[in-house]
Amino acid sequence: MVERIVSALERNSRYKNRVEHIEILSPKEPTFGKLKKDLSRNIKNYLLKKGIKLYKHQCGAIEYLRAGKSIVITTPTASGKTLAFNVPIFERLDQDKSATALYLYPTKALANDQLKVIKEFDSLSGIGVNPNVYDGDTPPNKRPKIRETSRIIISNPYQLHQVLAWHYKWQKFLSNLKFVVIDEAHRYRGVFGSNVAFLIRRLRRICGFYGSEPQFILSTATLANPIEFSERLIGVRFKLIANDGSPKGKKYFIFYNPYFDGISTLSTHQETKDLFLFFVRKDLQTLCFTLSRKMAELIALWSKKGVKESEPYLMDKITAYRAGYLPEERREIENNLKNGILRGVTSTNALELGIDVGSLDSVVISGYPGTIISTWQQAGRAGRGVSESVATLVAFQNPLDQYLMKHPKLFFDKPHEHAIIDLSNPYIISGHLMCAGSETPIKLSEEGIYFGDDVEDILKALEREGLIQNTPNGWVYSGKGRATEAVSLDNISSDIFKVICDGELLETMDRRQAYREAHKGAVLLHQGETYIVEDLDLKKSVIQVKKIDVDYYTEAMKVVDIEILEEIEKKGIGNFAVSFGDVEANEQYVGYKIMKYDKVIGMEKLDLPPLNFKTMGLWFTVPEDTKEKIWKKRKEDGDIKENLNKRSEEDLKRGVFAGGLHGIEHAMIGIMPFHVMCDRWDIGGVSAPNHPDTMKPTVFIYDGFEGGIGLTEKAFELIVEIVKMTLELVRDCKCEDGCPACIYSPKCGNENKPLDKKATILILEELLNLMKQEDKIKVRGR
Amino acid sequence: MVKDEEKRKTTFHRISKKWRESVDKVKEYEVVEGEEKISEEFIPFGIDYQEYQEAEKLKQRLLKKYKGKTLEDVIEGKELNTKEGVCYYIENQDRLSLKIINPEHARKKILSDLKLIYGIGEVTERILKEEGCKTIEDLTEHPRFGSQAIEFLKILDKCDTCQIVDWIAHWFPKSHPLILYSSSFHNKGDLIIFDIETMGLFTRPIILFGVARISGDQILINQYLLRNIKEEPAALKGFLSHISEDSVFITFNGRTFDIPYVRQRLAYYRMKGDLERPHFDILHFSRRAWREKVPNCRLNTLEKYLLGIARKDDVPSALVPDFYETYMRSKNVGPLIPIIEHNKQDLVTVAIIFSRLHEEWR
Ligand SMILES: [Zn+2]
Ligand SMILES: [Zn+2]
Repeated sequence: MVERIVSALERNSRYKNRVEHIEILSPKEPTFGKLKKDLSRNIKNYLLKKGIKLYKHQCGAIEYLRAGKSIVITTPTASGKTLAFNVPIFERLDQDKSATALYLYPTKALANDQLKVIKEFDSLSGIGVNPNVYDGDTPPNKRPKIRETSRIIISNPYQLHQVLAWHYKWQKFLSNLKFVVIDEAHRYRGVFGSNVAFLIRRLRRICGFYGSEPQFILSTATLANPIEFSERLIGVRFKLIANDGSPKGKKYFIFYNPYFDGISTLSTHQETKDLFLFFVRKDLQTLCFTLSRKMAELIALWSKKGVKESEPYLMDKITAYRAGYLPEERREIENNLKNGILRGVTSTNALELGIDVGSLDSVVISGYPGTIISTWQQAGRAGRGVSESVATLVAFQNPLDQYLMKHPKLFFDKPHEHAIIDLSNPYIISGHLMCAGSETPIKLSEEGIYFGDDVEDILKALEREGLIQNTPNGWVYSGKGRATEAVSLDNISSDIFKVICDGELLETMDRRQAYREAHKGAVLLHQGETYIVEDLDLKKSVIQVKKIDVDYYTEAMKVVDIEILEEIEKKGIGNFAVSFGDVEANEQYVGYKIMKYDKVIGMEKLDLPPLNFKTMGLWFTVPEDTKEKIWKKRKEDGDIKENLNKRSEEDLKRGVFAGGLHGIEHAMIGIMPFHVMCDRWDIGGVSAPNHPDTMKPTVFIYDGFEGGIGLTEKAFELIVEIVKMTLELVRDCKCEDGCPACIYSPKCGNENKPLDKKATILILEELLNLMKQEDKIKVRGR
Repeated sequence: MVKDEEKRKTTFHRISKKWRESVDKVKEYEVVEGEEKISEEFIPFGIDYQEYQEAEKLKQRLLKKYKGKTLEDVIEGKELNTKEGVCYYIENQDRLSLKIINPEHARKKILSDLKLIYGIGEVTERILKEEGCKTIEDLTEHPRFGSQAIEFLKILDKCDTCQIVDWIAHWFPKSHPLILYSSSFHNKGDLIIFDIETMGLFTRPIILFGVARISGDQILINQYLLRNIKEEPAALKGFLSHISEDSVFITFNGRTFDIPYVRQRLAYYRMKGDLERPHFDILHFSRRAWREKVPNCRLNTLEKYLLGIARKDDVPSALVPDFYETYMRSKNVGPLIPIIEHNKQDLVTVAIIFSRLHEEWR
């Protein structure tokens, strides 16, 4: 049936030209496995009642765990990963009636979802592990009993971070801890992952304190480096379970390009809506992923409008789903997806994570989500058992999406991203040393294995600030505030705004979202209904809205700039100079557009204070005469000549130069993960042809974490290598005008415009020339 | 190489400074990990600006006054030697007579409440009393309630407070007078009134342990002070030395704060210490007794309204960590003085309020 629908799409004159590529992923028969030793009767009962026969990879996982190993499972969504570790864990908990297991999920919603599965396993097998969730929502009076009686506890890293100092209350659970499950482990990469890596070391340290040494089970999306990643995240040896034994149906992966001819009559949003409806009307249960909360709402809204007259029965079968909805609302949608009542749901990546909504027939991905990992995770939502399914990636006009459309092979053949964990970042280590020091005194002889070689020097530096003190019992945390409050695992804001309608809570959002989507006058969309924001109270963090039916929506406009607060260090390499210091990125929402479909029908001004973000960054300037120099070379090129009669020379010159600087910024951020062990999403950048603080053309690269986290600090040290490698990368890239492998960025705030690959190379060459002009390194520190 | 080493250390130092900034900014939260919900009365949240300024002035005055003085010069005490090292030990005593209702009276009060027996509610109690069953002792022959009554009497005769309290708490709220009465079954000498001063709400050192004992019409106050963080294990030992088989804790909010805090610090240092003792937390009783009469049930408020005590030169609880930190950084003992006084006064007030409760519910 899916095959017929796909070919209908290919034949339909409305769509056919826009289908750039169809990749057919072939179906697969199941491979079942055998165990060396039979499972216990209780577990067999469970499998029998559920009608489950174990696949090969599940048997592999069971054997490794029985043998005491730690494992990482990378098989795809819906391959029975959870069962692969639940079976051996229940087996052990059945044999050893005091054994316990800890499951960590990145979100509360996932934890609750998992609880259902484990509860069912527990009751059908009759093993008696009394599973429970223990997180911020667990009522205080229920906590002691859970700690004392639950043998499987499901929680999240944030909770674990707070709980460890209370280890005495967890003595029974921790001293019997046999397994730690970390699901969706690929989420723990970059700076967030490095923080979680040290959190896990703190857990292992406390387990050691109580004499236990749990095995670890990681479940992750496909990565380029699963074993290396796991071993760095946890600090123990891992075995890999990668060969999926579950059966697969045929899957069509369509690359759909509204801009196939360079222009488009309809926007990507409109195209997404049409495709979404196309599949829904063909009776394929479809999930549509969008890049923003607002688009999830709008596409649902427009789709409903689209069927109102012609197919009114579909109206109630389409809805939006996203973060910010109240938990009950979300649960209802999840259930209605699972039982098939809903036929089409539009969602942000909130549903990309493993929330169980069953499998669907079709997925539409509106815009490249930025990583190959995410794209496959989203596409993986389609495919019900062995039946056929279809995934459609709809491109935006930006160069990155367009590049993918023109080079599908790059996407299908490219290995997935590397997940990077940094174990040597002193910012991260010192934070976790403070936390560890408030859990039990730090003894130098014991901690090297957890915190690395710099421990003593870092402790001494912390002692000078009175944060930690050396005592005969070890180093003791003595800061005035709680360490775990000062050290946050990620960038997620705890500054939550409430949206109130007629005195009732409608939803919640963080400050940034409130500025962007809930400023006064904004149209807030919630489950396809429109609300007008009447008041945004920044002090009380409350947004008052009124339900009003309008046929327009709003889009806030922002300006971003960066300010140098203090230059900490500057060094010269030849005639090239680079600085490092405290910077402040400012984001100001200055007004908003009133939109109807894709047309702007009005503009309003906004009077909101800027959102300031203090961090650390590096910056370097480019000599002013470079602009002329590269223009001289560039204007001889065919692509520029061609444009000379269309645009003024000054305009083109400006574009070339700005495109070059912008290209350097992107390419540098792109290669930084190789030098400073982070994720590219951890770093931000700004390039300016004339920055007010330097009065020169300047490129800024900064840490994407409040206060800075040492990423650009390390890059500052390695600047020569980084500039060299950036040039090699861009110069040697086989693309014509730039591609994701060189100067296109998946997170550009300016839609990858302007970008100029040739200018990027010319400016980088100029920088390297400057470096060579004098072979001395001059350092000016403070 | 040497330069690299230098640079590395500069970096660590810069990072530490950043941490200090963010650690200083951390606000204490209402709910901490565990089942303990720190009650509003306890949270030293509500420090207003004026209070803060006065405390700041006090601190500056003390710093000036005690510049260059040693602890021994200023506060009479001695160094205490324990297996876990040393700390500073301070002893004081004062007149205080504890008016606790006598055990017979308490027993009578408890036994006359028939609702302590399973199956007896308000109505049944009234009927039973009309029939002549005035106390639980009269019920021992009763066909339906007899066995329960006998069981309860057994527990009461053993004077096993934990069991008595558990039994009562099963039928009545924790703040019920009958529970307070059970404290009468102990010798006054077994009462351990205690209160700690800390660097914050959990997970940081306890800097002062205060223990008060009653002997005749005297209250004996023992305080174990950390002159530096190293001395915490010794101070813990000093505190534990007061606890015997028969000890009973009297605290203000100790159930949710002091006891879990001490437990956490013991586990922190891998020290052993048994704190399973009967515990009368007078916060709950006070709330029941006086909630209507006082603006809130913080210890200082109760003290002001019930006992008419107005503290002078006191350090607000919220600023104890700040004062102690100033002491650590400046090595000036001035800021320690109000902390020690504050703790001592807290102990005395807890003792008096405990006594008042007995009078109130006589
Ligand atoms: Zn390229
Ligand atoms: Zn950009």
